[in-house]
Amino acid sequence: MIENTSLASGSQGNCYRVSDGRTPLLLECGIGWKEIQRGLNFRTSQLAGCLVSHEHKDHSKAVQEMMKAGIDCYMSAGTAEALGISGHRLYIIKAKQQFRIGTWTILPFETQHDAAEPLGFLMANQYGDKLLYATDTYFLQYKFRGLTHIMVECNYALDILQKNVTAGLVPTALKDRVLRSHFSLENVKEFLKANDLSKVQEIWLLHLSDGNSDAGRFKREIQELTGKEVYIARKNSY
Amino acid sequence: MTEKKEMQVAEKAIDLVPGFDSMQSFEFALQAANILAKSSLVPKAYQNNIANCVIALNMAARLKADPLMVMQNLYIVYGRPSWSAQFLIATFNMSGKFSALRYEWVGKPGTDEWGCRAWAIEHATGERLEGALVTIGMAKKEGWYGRDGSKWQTMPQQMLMYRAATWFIRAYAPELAMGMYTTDEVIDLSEDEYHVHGKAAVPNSEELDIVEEGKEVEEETKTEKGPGF
Repeated sequence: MIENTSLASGSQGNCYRVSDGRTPLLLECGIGWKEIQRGLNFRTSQLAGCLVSHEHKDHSKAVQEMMKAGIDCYMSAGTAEALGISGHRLYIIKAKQQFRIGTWTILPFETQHDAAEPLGFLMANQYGDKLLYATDTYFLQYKFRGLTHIMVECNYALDILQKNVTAGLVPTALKDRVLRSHFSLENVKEFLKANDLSKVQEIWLLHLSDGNSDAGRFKREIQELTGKEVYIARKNSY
Repeated sequence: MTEKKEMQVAEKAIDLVPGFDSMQSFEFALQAANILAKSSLVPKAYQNNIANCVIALNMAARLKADPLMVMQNLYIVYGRPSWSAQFLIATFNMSGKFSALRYEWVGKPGTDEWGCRAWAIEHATGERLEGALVTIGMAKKEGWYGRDGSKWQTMPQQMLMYRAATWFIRAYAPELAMGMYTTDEVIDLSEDEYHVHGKAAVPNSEELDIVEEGKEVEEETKTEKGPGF
């Protein structure tokens, strides 16, 4: 049983608490430290660690304070270098080299984003849960076996983005960046279709764009496609 | 008479190039590909992949280039095979039909008017051939300048030369590029649909999974920490 709480999701900040009942972890720390404290009811010392996917501020804003507060932070060498951080609370991880934090075994993998060395995480625990966490990537090159929970970015729909570009609401340069750095509804569907979802219990859609998404439609379309319970991560809960 | 016939057979054997021209050349390609695919010195895309090796051998034969050189300069960018710009320029310079590529500069560095044009002399006619002018302004207007992974902002001079050269080669010696783009061109290509709806969006066959840890591994990770400093 995995418990998932979204403290923040979207371009303003991303932070998710994931726990299997034994080992609570934070996925990203892209909001202020105070917001994280509030979001966790000031029980931050219970965290076993924080996984940071890449260096962009909406995923790493509080990393310094987290480490100062004694929370171990896990990220790629490229991310750590881009953030300019070091210290004994920093743990460098590599794509395709699994490691353990408490009851979780975590396998990082490469994602496709305009960052130094971005990672996604496949996380399995001793109770048979297998969680996929992937955000800020325009597609996923791997397939995954036996997933029970999926937390995946679903940033925009191509038709909404195109409409916004035509209306002059989104500059072409921004559109180009979005296309090459974020997961679209269309690509999320392709990814889900390519994977065995027979054991999947929940799908969480993360990091929805403010202007280029439609939470209701995304939830409905993914539900129709997969027949699974679909949740939209809350923009903020602190 | 027999000696002459033997010589003809020998010449024919020498002419045999790996490819798809005949059953013999295809069999030859397969044999060679089998050997290359077993080598650990060839790039990963060709290791244990006979089909890729056959294609590389055929390309090498058409370019009259070394197969290993072709393999090392054929990159997959966004799922598309593409040449490195250096390889394309080197192939052009070695073609024997033209002088080595030269570059002509216009405008002031740091401005949008700064640009480069490639030129060369065609040996058969002695004519000076000029390629299209590529400028920073053009790179900006075409949307190449700001693309992720593009080097236009960090090494504009190099990019101007590469783009001018590849355009020249595509105009005057298209047989060398074989219809393929260079790696930097693929990054700059404005084919948004390709990324959204194309094959790049579909996961490849590689399945990723957590390996169940044996006793030995568990002992190693008793500290319950990941690899760190």
